[in-house]
Amino acid sequence: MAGRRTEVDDRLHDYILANSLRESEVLRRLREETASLPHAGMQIGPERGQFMALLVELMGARRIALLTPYLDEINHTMRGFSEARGVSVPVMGSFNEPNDNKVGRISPESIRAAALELGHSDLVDAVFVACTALRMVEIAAEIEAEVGKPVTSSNHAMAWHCLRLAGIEDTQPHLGRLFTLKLAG
Amino acid sequence: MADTAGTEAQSELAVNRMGMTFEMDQGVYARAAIGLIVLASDQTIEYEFRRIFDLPGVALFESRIYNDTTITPETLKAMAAGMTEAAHLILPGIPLDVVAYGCTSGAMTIGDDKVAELIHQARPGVTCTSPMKATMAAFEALGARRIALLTPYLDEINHTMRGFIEARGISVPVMGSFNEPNDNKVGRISPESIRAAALELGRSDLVDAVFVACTALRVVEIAAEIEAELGKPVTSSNHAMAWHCLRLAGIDDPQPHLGRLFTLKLAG
Repeated sequence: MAGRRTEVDDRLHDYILANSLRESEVLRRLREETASLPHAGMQIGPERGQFMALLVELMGARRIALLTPYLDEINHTMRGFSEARGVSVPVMGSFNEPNDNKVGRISPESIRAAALELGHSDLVDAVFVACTALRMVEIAAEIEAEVGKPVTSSNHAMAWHCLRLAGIEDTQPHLGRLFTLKLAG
Repeated sequence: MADTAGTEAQSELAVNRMGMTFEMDQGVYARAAIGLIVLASDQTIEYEFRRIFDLPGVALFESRIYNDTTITPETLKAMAAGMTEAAHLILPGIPLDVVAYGCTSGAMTIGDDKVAELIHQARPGVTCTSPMKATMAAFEALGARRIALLTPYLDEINHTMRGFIEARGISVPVMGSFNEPNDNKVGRISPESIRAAALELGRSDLVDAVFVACTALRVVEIAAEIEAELGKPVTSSNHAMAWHCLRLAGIDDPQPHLGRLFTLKLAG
């Protein structure tokens, strides 16, 4: 029945906030500051903001294909690490090459072919290529265009993270979708 | 949740492609692999080297060496202790074409032969260069016999450097210095100040080239411009050493936008 709702009086509202709110200190200060502004009536409650944040998170990349050069044991540890953080890894592939001097010479063409093969799966909505020695940065945007899903790698993601953490938000679309984005949250 | 904890998979692994096939190529160093030992306090050399090494198949691999931020003859000498370890950390097991030690006054104080010996303990037989060694090769390629020397160093180091150059057959009738011993400040001396000082010294009729010493001074992006204004070749520690690394590695691609030196091959 649309439009019907339980009347939330102050007592009930306080109870909801006290028992469900997980906002950060910064967010709390921003919310209180906003409440003092003339148009504060337009402000939504923190419990509703929290629910919307959850919905946004649910729409983001939550299922990834993982490509690595590592031995199987490391691959499974990495997959578990990612899954324990709420991102599922239903698709995984590896070059299984333990010699780091060789990993740096795996051709971009081979990486591209492997990333495309894994990324084409309907089970995933993004591709992550692990290992700082694999040459990905120059081909990430091209693979993205071909697979129609975002692609990132250890160096690609970490360089982006360094820039954003340092407050550098210049967009670099030639490097792929990630480099058009800010830090989430 | 602690970032180091939790590595338990929770969903089904639908695809697990083991042993995916791959081909190997020559890597990012298809034409040249150049190792560079960078001072802990150097803010400039990597930036300038990367600009210059923007050539296909030419790769730069860096290692850092501890140094005191205050540059004195004593702190320069102390760097010798870390040289071998710094060289060890550059791509063990992969052949390098050249290893360069990025300290002008340090290489001069320790001595190029000693620097090479310390690097060879980690990298037997590798070709070594340093800013002073490279600069002498640059003077030879440019045909420069009388130079103006600009440095950021204290007076004692300046006179040692002048003596070093003169002992190798190049006269230094004109010299100037910012006399700034704090390396953290030297990296922030503005290119405009360097340009003005280089022009002032270089205009003298007594000299036919300008050398700006110190890997921390930002000269690479303004060298060609100062040259054009002076009508004389201009080089610097990074400028000369990057050129020397390339030529020693057999890379002769001309890069005229970097100045006259980058159109030349090694002399002789």
